[in-house]
Amino acid sequence: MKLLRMTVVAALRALRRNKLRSALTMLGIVIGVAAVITMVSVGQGADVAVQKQIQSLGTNLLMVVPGATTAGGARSGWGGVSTLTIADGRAIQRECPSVAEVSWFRRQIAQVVNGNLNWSTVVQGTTPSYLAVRDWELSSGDFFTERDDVAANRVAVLGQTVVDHLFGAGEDPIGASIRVKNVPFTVIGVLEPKGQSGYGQDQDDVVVIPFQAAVRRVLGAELVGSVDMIFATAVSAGDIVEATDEIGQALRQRHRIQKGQEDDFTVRNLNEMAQVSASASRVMTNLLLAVASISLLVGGIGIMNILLVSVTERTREIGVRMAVGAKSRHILLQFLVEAAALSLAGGLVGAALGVGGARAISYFASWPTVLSAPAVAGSILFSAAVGIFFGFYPARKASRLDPIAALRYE
Amino acid sequence: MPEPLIEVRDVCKTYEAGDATVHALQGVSLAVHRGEFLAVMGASGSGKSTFMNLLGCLDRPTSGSYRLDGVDVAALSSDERAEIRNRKLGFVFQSFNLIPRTSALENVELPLFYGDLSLAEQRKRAQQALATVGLTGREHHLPNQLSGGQQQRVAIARALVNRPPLLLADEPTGNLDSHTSAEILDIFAELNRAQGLTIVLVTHEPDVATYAERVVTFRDGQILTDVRTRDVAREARG
Repeated sequence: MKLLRMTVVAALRALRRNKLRSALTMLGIVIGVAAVITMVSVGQGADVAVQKQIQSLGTNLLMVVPGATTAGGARSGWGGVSTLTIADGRAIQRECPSVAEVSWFRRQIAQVVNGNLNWSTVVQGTTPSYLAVRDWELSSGDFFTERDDVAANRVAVLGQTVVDHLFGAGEDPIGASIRVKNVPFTVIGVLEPKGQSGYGQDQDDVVVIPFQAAVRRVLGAELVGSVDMIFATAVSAGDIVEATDEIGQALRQRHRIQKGQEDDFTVRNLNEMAQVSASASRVMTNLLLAVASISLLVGGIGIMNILLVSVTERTREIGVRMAVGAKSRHILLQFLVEAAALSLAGGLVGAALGVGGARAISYFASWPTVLSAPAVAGSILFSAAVGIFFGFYPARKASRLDPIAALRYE
Repeated sequence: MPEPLIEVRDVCKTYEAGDATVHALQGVSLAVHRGEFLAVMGASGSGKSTFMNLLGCLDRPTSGSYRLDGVDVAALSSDERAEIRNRKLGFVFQSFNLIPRTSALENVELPLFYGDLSLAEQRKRAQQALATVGLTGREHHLPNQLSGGQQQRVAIARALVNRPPLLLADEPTGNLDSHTSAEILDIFAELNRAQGLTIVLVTHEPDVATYAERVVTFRDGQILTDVRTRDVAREARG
């Protein structure tokens, strides 16, 4: 124990004797560790943001879209004429025990006018259950009811983006009359801002109206009872797979699809999307790790290089140490500790810079960053390991010097 | 008669230099008792450096025996020899061999690094050793801030700090002017007289040898003469 302490003292003294050189040697490790920590923070920040966006679509959400989407070969999904109907939606609600709520909608881009302001946006006709399915709240007013839907009442709930474009600052949209495709609607509520979806769409750029009002008064029906998409929620997160199967079964039966025939619909759930984003971020993390390993490798080679120079330069010192009683393992340990001290100090400085860098990116670029303690601790430990690994060869070289030759070395 | 501190018997050392075999030492026998001040002389290539390396436990003889303070060191492993060097030997070199950019005090402490003393005790010992060579007040000077004579005194303090029974000096005045040489040799003589320290000093200058009480001369790997000069030396110094 005492030996270790003395060796650490000796190593630190030796590094102090050559401050500039020690600092430059550490630089490789400093940059490597700082890069790792900054990149991992940015990567994890992006990951968390994507997860949040996916969650923003709704919890336990299942989406039934018309058409089959298979890998390879062009298939029409949203674009084609819909094969889904209101009756399909009702059947899902009736026949699938793992499904909690069902909603469906039709939507179209349309011009919305308030006074002399106008805005082109998505007009979405849907059911009163839409809010519950999307896990969405209102920031003011009310949502429309079953009665509004049945009566095809001309009431509208606006997304925040639409409010921003159609109403001046401080103007209360509730109760205002707007025109959707020249049809007057009364604003009864405003949706809470949700931000961008995982696809980069602005989810707040929307006008939500009762389904029947949309079909009968605004959009018109190409096929009676057809819908663009059906949303359903699973009873719980554990029931998502179950619910997916049940919906598939119910629709195959209704659409009379034989075994082996291709479905004319697709059920997607958010787990799939989350998995896609997780695998994307795994690829990114692996890339970052590769870059980080290379920079730490370069830093380690720098340490080895400097230590080799140092061993040559300090041959006489090593000879003297041996003459006054240092055993070869003392010399080995001294140089190993020097290497570890260099790389550990580099790791600590690098970690500080990395944390600072991540903060700076959050602050100046407004990117979300997440500092991960395992990444910080791991990269510091890894840098120390790099030092010991690359310090071993020079240290062993020093410890094997012949004291007589070392004392005579010029 | 007590056991000698150094007892070398019939020691040979051969090197392989290329395809030639060099017989550096050919049957050397020597006994040195505690408290002796011995000078080793000889031309270069006479084997005196090889002999000093053996005495200093830096090297092992090819054949023959070497007992230091009752221990047969010829058979020891390199770690065991390191321990012997640490506890029983002090080295003074021609070129001082101080660690650069390291204070005098830390240089003197160096042998204690590999011993068992506490840090406080180490510091105390190192300060005492510096006081012995008259360098109190220079503890924190770096080697390049000291004159040659002062540097050699730091080296002597380093050799003494572990209180070894034997001090080996290899041409300790070879890099010093005659006035400083005399100062350094006086320190050796004083250590020998007052503390009974056994000293083996290698030199090729007859003047330096006069400080010793016994002069051993090497030639061609063998001892040529072994002369007690105590009386002569005293006369020479007046």
